Amino acid sequence: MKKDDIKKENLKEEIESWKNKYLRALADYQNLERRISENRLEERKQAATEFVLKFLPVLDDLLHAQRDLENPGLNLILKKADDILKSENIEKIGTKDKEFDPHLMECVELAESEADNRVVKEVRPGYRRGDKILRAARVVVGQI
Amino acid sequence: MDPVKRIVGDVAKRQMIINPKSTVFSIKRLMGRKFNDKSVQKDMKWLPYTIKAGRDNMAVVEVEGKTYTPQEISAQILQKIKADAESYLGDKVTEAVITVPAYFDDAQRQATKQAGEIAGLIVKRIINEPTAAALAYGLDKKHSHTVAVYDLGGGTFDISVLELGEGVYEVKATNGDTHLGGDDFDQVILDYIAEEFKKEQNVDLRKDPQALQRLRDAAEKAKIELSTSIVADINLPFITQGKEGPLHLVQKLTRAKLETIVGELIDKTIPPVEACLKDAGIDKSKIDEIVLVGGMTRMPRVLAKVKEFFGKEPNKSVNPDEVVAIGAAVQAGVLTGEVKDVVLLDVTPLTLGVETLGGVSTPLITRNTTVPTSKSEVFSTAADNQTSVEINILQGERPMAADNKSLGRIILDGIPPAPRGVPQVEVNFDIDANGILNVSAKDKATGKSQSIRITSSTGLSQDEIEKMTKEAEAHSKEDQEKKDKIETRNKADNMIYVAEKSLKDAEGKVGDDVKKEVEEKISALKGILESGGKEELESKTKDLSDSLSKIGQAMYQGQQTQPPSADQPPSGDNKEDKNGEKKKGKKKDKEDVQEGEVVS
Repeated sequence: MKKDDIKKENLKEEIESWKNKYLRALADYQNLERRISENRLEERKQAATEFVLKFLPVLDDLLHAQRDLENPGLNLILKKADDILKSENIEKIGTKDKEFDPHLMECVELAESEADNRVVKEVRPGYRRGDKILRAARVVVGQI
Repeated sequence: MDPVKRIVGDVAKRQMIINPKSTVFSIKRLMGRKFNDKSVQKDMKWLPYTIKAGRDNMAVVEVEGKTYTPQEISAQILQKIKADAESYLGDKVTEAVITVPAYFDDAQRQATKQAGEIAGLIVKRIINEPTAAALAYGLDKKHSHTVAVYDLGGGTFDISVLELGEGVYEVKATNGDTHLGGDDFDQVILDYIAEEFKKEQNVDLRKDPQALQRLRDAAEKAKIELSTSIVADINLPFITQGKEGPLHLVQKLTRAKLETIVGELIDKTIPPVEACLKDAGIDKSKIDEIVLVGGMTRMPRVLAKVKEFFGKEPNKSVNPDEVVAIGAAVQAGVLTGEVKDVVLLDVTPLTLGVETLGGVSTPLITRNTTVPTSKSEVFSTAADNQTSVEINILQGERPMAADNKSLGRIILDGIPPAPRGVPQVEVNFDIDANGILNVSAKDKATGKSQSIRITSSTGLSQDEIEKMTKEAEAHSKEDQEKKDKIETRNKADNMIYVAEKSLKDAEGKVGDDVKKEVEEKISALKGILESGGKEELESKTKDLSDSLSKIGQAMYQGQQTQPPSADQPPSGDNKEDKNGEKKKGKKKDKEDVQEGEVVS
């Protein structure tokens, strides 16, 4: 009788252990499903971001051309490109006369200036999507 | 309260030009070292921040009048990593496994541990970076063997020889170059591009800070691109102003050229490797495994050099930027017992499937599927009025049934006579957690079923599995050709069946010329069904299909009010299929079966 009780007890424990493992596996699976769907969204955004990042150097080149040629037609093209980026919630980081902020900008050169630690020139624009910085702006920073 | 801005990582790097003396990097070089240590004195010459002697003559850094120990600086980095990990995991991180270079002595390891503690982490273990890399490849699980870890990163090169396995983790020797890495490669490439431009335009772009920045980006990009391409285009329009207007940089850099210009740098890694082997007292031929670490090992020439030196293919499947971190994570998993907690689930070592028309092996459960698992598929008959099907259960990777191992057979009879393709036989494979395979076949019309239990589905020895897998790889090309040919023949056979059925259905409704044309095409295809090559079969099948569409056209034109119904199965003759395999199951899609269409 006692032996049977022990056996029963052992079986109960085993059932409990398997039940736990099963529930854990089920939970793991549900978590995995959720994570996959979250990741999928994130990946989609990431893919779009990667494409934009790959494309930005072309815009940079156009900007270099514009600085040199000052062509009104090129201006229109650049505006169009900015509009497309805006429609994807991607915005240019404003740097003009701003105080240097390493979270948004990268200092590539220093220049003598009356205003200390302020942006005197933007070398390459930066872009952000909401709080996320896609690419920091490259700037020349003034120093007294 | 604290006048010093505490920013870490890229953000800190971006303001380095403004605050060169307050921006601390490469702190690992000072960790646990005395101020008068030879290497500290050497590093002081190029590190822009101030290094001083602190308590016990230890090296410390001074930032804006305040001194910090390397431990405190490292702790800032660890805190940032901790916060990032916590935000990703949504959970507190309290413990850590930290990796250090294999050459770190006790004092340096102790200092690293303190850095972790300052950051609020309980440092469970400090492990060597090369050991971690080997752990990421699971090399500790093998029998005792010798591993060389070749680590070419952004700024340093390290080579280590380890003895691993059977609970042994021993670093036999380490060597390296503390000033050799990806940055040097970028510089050489940049100089080459700038020199070429100078030759053409007589302008040195390195003197123009903004052009230099663009050049630096382009050099790194070209280096990365050339790891996968043979040639990289370097286009930097409006790079600078010339006497006669804007100048554009347009160059092509080939992989061969790149390998010539960086060849010397790659060669520089070999003497430390030789010295390391000498210190370890091991001949290079005795190295069992080579592990690659660091982004620079992606460069094909680096890989080739390592392979050429050791005469062996290095391990490179794990991302070389992450391999050390992955190894540390593996170690952390073992330490927390997480590895033990996980129910280790088995996988099916080989593909399981059934034989279908023409002796083709059709997989149901592919190899490496985690068990328990279950899979069902609906098959149909290969001949009209076939009343039984034989399910041959197969195991193996080869596309043809005869080359795989037969685990057993089920014969399901009592299927009501019907044209081929109409009966629906559901075959279910179920493997339980113990690897026992249950196969059942059920005729959906009568509900009749048969099943078999196979206990040895995963009971193959490792040797058998390896043998079967290797055979599959070795024969993959010829097997695929054989399978393609049979599938083409099956398609041709189906087309003949459909054509004959259509002719019968259209009796008296189409012109004799169309009938004759289709009959001729049928006979032409039948003539080559057994002997014809793949292309010939495909072309004759297409010919027949084209002619067949004329029957459809004629019938629609003549009798638009009575389109043929899918609910009325055609009364086909009791024809055996061309391979004489009347009983073989024929793979069918569910929807296809319901439409009574015969398409394989």
